[in-house]
Amino acid sequence: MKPKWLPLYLLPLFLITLPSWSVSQGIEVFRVNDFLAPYEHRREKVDQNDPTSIAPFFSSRFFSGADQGYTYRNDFFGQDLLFARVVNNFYFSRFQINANATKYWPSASDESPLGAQGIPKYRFGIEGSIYDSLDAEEPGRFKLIWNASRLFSGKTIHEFGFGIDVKVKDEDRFVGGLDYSWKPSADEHNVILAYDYSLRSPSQSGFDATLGFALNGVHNGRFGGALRFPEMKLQIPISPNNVFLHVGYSAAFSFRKHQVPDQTRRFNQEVVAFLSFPVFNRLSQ
Amino acid sequence: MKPLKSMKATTLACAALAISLITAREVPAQTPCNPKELVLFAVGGASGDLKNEVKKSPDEFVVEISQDIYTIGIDPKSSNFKVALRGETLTVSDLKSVKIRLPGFSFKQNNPSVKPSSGNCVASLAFEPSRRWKLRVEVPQSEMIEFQVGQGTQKVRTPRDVPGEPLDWATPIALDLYPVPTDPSRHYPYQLKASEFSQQPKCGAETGVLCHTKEEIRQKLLDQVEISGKTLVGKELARIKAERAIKELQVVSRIEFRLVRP
Repeated sequence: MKPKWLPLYLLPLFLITLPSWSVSQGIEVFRVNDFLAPYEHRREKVDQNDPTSIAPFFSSRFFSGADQGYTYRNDFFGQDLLFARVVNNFYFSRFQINANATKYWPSASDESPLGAQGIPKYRFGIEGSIYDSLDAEEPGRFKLIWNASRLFSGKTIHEFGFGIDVKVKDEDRFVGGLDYSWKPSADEHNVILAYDYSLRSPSQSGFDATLGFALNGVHNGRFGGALRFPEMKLQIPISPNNVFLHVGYSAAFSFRKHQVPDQTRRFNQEVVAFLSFPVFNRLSQ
Repeated sequence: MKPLKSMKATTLACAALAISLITAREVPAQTPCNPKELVLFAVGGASGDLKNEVKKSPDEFVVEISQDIYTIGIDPKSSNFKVALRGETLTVSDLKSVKIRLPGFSFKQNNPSVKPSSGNCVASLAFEPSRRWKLRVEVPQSEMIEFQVGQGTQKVRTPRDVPGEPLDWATPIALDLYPVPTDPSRHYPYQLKASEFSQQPKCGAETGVLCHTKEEIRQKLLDQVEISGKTLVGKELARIKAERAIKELQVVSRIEFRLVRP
């Protein structure tokens, strides 16, 4: 049942984030931004005004590592886990399709109440995005999201949502986004407002360091929320072939007054370390 | 005037006496004699390398004494170096001005000595060898590229021996190579040491030659490209674009580096 107040709840968040594009934080600390403006994969030797001058680009990347104090949106599971994730992105014209799959190995066993109720065995996701400009260096992006999570209990949870990503200011260093999701099975609404500030200019190669915060609102019969701050991420190149070591830290505080199964604590510190490397890339000629 | 004259005469006499005393002390060393051989003592870190090199090419290690060239050999008994002389009269001054030569080495000599000893005449000289090298950069056939040496701003063209003055064996040579004649903005740094030439030859070249093939040149040029992107996927895209751009460049087929023994 969709509460009547929901549009009002979202309106200020929309207004705040309108000028920016999104970041991956706020959902899972180990997620990596896949924003790619259409002008970046434009063909060089064709008519610049032709929409077909945007060359289709496919990118597949593998991520694997460890997460201590894993959180998903505003769910604090209080568990450590290993994960492996594949993210495929296909960019064409002003559109983007993201198909991702994540496998989780939590420290809790299958029989554990925590493992059974919270962390999935695996999660599949599909995101369809549209960029609002073919030419702008900092276009906005709107995306529709569907996630399906298979829990250790055998239950499958679906999530539907959308996201808006826009640049805030300062040469893409300061970016933000809004992400909304709805879990029909739990009748839960989640809103995440997240900002990231890159400590290095995006035009520089090498390592990246970002500092961010995320504000998370949740309603599943009662209001709740969480604040993540600081959320720091380092992206360190370890080979010339775009292999990266990622290290992240996030501190989060929950506003939920009532106890829910996935909310085992009020304050959570999360540390992630993982490697990512390209599996396959193809840019159309 | 007379007393002045007598003072002058006294001063001259004293000076003459002093000179004669000084020269008298050097007389034994400067006494010319006719040594049958000159013994050479190699001292210093490169002595072992010198012996190895002399064993490889015994005819190239020579000494020039008073414009005569003598081959220096290794005495099997003492393992010192020695030169069989032809009975010429030698003095210490002669030994001070000898020139020892072997390609790839320079020599600093000291302690020259020519002494009559129990009826024989013994000549000896100590020297400190040090290895020296230069580098020849060339590309096959009629192709040419430009390159810079070290931090210098002046570009030179292949084929060329660099640097002007030979370097000590342990000193590496740093180059900045411009392997795309049609695009002078493309270049990459390369540093190599003399000792690298003794390693297994690469790309089918003979020993003493190192080279960069076309593929290696392209890879090195790619390594110089700053791959930047706003996101991780943007970096991947930038790398693909950079690889394509490098592939389209007309790089020279090969660059060769030869060790030159000055």
